[in-house]
Amino acid sequence: MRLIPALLLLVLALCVAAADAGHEITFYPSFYPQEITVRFIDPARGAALLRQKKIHAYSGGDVFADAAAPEHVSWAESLGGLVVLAFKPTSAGFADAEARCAGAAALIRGLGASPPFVVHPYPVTPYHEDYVLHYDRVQRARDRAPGRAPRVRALAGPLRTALAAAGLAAGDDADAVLHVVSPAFLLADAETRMLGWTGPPWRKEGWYHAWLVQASSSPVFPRAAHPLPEELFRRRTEGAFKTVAERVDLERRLVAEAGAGCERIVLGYMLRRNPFNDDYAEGIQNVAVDSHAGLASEIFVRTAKLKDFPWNGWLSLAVPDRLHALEGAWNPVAGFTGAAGRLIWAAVGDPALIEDPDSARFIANRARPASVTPATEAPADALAPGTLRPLGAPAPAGSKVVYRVLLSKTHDGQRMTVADILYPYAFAARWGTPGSARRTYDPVVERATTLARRSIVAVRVLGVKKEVKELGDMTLMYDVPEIEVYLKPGVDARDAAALAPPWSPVPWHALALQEEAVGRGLGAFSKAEAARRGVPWLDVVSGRAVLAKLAGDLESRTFVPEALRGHVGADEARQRWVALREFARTHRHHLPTAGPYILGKVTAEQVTLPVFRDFTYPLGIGSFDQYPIPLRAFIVKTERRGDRLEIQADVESIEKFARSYKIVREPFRPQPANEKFREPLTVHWVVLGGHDEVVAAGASRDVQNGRLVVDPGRLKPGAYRVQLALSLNGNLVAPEVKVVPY
Amino acid sequence: MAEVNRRDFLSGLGVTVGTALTALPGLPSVGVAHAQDKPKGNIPDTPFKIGHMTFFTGAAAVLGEPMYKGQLLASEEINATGGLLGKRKIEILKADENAGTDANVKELRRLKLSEKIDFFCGITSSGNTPALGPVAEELKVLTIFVDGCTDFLFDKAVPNPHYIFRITNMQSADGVTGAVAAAMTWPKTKRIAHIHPDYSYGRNAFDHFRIVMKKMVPGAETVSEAWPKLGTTDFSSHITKTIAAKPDLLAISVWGGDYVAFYKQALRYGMFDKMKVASMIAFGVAPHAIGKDHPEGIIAGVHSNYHFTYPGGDKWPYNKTFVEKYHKRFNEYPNFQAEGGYTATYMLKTAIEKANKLAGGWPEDDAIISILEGLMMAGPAGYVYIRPDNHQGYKDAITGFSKNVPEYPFPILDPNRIITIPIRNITAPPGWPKGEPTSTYTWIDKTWPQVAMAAEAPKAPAAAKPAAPAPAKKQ
Repeated sequence: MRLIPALLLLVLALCVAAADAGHEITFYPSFYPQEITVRFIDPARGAALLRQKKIHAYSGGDVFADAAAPEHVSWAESLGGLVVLAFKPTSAGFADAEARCAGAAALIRGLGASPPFVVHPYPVTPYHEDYVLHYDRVQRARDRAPGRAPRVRALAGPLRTALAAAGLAAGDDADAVLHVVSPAFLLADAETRMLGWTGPPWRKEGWYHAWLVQASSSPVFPRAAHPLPEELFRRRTEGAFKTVAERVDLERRLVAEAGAGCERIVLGYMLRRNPFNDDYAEGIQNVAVDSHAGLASEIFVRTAKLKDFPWNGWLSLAVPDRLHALEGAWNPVAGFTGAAGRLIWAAVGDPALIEDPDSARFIANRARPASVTPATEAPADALAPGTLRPLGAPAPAGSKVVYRVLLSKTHDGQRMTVADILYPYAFAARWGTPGSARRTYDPVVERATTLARRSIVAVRVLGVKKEVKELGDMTLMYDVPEIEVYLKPGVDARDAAALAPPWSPVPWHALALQEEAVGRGLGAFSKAEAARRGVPWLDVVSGRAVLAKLAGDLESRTFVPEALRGHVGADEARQRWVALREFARTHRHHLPTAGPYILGKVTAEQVTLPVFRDFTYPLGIGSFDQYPIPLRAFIVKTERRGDRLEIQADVESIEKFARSYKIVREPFRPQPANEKFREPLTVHWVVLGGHDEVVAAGASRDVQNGRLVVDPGRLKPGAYRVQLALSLNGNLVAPEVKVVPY
Repeated sequence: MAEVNRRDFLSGLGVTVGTALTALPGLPSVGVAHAQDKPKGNIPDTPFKIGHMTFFTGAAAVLGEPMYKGQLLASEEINATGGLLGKRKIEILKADENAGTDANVKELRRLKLSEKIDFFCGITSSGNTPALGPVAEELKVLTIFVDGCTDFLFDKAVPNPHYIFRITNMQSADGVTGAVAAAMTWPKTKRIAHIHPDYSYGRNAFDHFRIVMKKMVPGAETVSEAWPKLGTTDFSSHITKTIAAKPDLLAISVWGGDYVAFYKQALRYGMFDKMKVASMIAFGVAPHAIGKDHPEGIIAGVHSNYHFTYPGGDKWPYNKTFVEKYHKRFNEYPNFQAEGGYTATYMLKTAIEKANKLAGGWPEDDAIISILEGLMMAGPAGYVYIRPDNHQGYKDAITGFSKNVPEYPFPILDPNRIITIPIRNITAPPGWPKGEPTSTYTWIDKTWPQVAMAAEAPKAPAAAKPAAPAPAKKQ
């Protein structure tokens, strides 16, 4: 190993020297395509371009739904939305819950399966991680006795066609309306997508979607009259449970009670089918698809690989929005909300944690949770999240999350520091707290940060480690701060790491510029606040002239936000503002990030996103290659032995060849200890009693004699049944569920 | 320094175009079709554990996975006949080289100390062989590196190896082979441009290409150098600069996805119509990694090791059989790493069998090592010879010209224009002092004659031929 001069240890560095590397430099920062183009085109044009192999994928629905697709097109399938029947309060024939429930059952029988509609009369679907925990309820809903079918109004599409065929279609005089409610719609007023934070932690879980189906309200989707089980919801989201069984029981009761009025009933779900070019030479491979977001996801842009390239290449995508101005402004706080915006931000931003495409969990990205441990208090020298000043005295806490944060340079060439990753805490406090200073408040920021602000006690910087990656004669060095985040008592350990990770893909100076713009009344972060105040929705591209002028002012004052004074020196601040000016001059916007792609040229027709192939970027090509091909496992046999259940399984494995692969099924054999996988074979299980009560629940990876073992503990004598599902590599999408008596 | 005629120079080097190998009787070969002698003595039936470390994730998996498949195929064939010496079934323990050099060193230690591997194999990266080589020696674990081709390994990191061997050609062969092929094909070259990645491989290719061209095409001058930084995706400035210099010939060692990005951009500029192109490693990844839009007729290097189409047809059954079996098993065509993994496994098998014949029973590692030293056997790529002094494998270097044929969905090397060069004639011989930047460089610089500038002068005297030592057979 070469000795590194001490001076270089102070900085992120890339040392290259002659002598001993081969051709096979094995680390390429960021991900496969060297450039991504996102074009705004309508579905018909999308279909034409896919036929001509001029785009690689269309993220906006199945453009071949009404026509035969060419052979080189494949589909990325995901949960398109829940199909919800909403009874009108005025419908006399369905005034009581029983009639509505029976009416829905009748409607399901009348509709039948009509692809991409899948009959599934329960809000927790196979695309939800907790499906196995609700499996009995799904079967019970299927068996519900039908009554008189309602007459239903629906938008044009396969559902209306099916309704018409069943003689159940109606107009304004309908008893009920059929809605297709996408996960994005459900989460629109509930999710956190701000800077690098993603939440809430249960955003992809079925029980939560079931809650949102009942709790959401909009002019086209008015809230049901049936009272919601608010207390159950509070207990679940505030971690007021002691065991897994108690948590599962809460979730099952919450789903049942929220939907008990049958005013809104889930009849099934729609599959989203994103077409992509699978051609041998000109298509793409290694396509990871988020089970809820489809291709408009972080995981897709971090895995998609052009077949004609070992790496590199120009990835051409399309979305239906023609003009981004029509779909929402582009800012990293409460913008990038439309279809194009989400896809672009997935590439340009870089979240602390990425949503696991095949489950409801998160994958470590730039903030890597190292441990979650109980804590009684945050020490006096920890920083208060709002001010970033020491607490001064210990504060009570319930748990502590330690993160390793992977810093890099930002697109304007600036080396990230701890100030960048701490600043979101101060930002959340400043903009998420209603007060007298109304110009530094945004209700969307308040909502998006409620959970974080409610949970966090303090944050403490343990230090900044230097991590070295040796690649032969190349030595790459990274700054890796270790940060403790203290959380209040009552936070479920499962959720803790995702609540308020120390991270922002937007450097503090770029964020401060936007804050100043909003603070001076030149715009607002969110659409709602922009409308309320009568100012533009802040957009880093269309608002560049305003931001440029303001940036000049801030540069002249070597501006540092109040919370960062003491954390950022004058020289650093000066350097940051100069770099931002230069960046904006060459890129024509003010949004440098620490993400893998740069927001490049923007026109009315398309956006270009060049790769950030900078060797300070800590993740490389292939970092997420375990996600593109989800594998399944199957229960072959179960056998009770004493107080436990043994499971014999078959598992799938991948055989990759040339530019393709095949999946083979084979008996499960424990993998050698040295071979690393996303997650070993796991059985998820719940034990139900005679009255459907949850007796025990959990997940097990215990393998003995080649069989998975479920040990529910000592149960009282009685008749039980166990619902089981296997996950391989963490894949819990559409698992096979087995129910065995116990 | 003596001057020679270029034709004689090439003849002295043993360069051939489109010829086939001839089998030498009595040499061991890959495959298990031939009858196996009954082993002598008692052979245990415990599994023979191979630790195979290569890239299973990351960019280099395109090289690593075929390497593993090559070894897997050979192991399956051997196991189907009962295992090594008919008794010991091979068990492969995989390890991902992508974990990083430090972690790889730890994993090698773990494999030896905890898993008790009998043999270590694999390795793609030249960054890893110099780190793992000394550790393998320290752990006394019998090792054949399939790649990790840096000259540095045996020049400096482990100059006196005992337990470690390497089977693929050394890195310096890339530049030398590319230059010899270019000099032979385009001898009237006057103006040479270079595009090489700005790290050691690019500099190695540049140095060796240039020293050979200085000897073989002495009238040619370097008119342009472009050194794309590592990670470069936009080659347009390098392309326009090169075109502006109006070269006759471009020498390029950009590899993998970088090369694909380069050639697709170069096509837009009509670069391939404006000059000849000699690449060290254009086709040196995997056959399917290059698109059909790749220009034809350029020298498309294969890391000077192997391309599955050569030796083609029925001319060399070991390759025909290997390619068929590999394709049947894995549904793809093998690259040089696959051939290396396959041949390494059979080399081990051969050495074990020979050692058993000598002393009976399961042979000690030292007995296997003594057989491996100087072993020559026939593999899919041709003859491979392990030089006893430095444990480096040598096989004829090959390169060729890109061509599209209907049989394959990717371009291949033109079967009629494959260029092969006996490796001994382009590599520093045993005993040559260690040199900078490599021993081969100083050997070429100091011993190769220079071609006379007059075009194709009369045949030179035999004494002026370049040094071409014959392989030192140990037997």
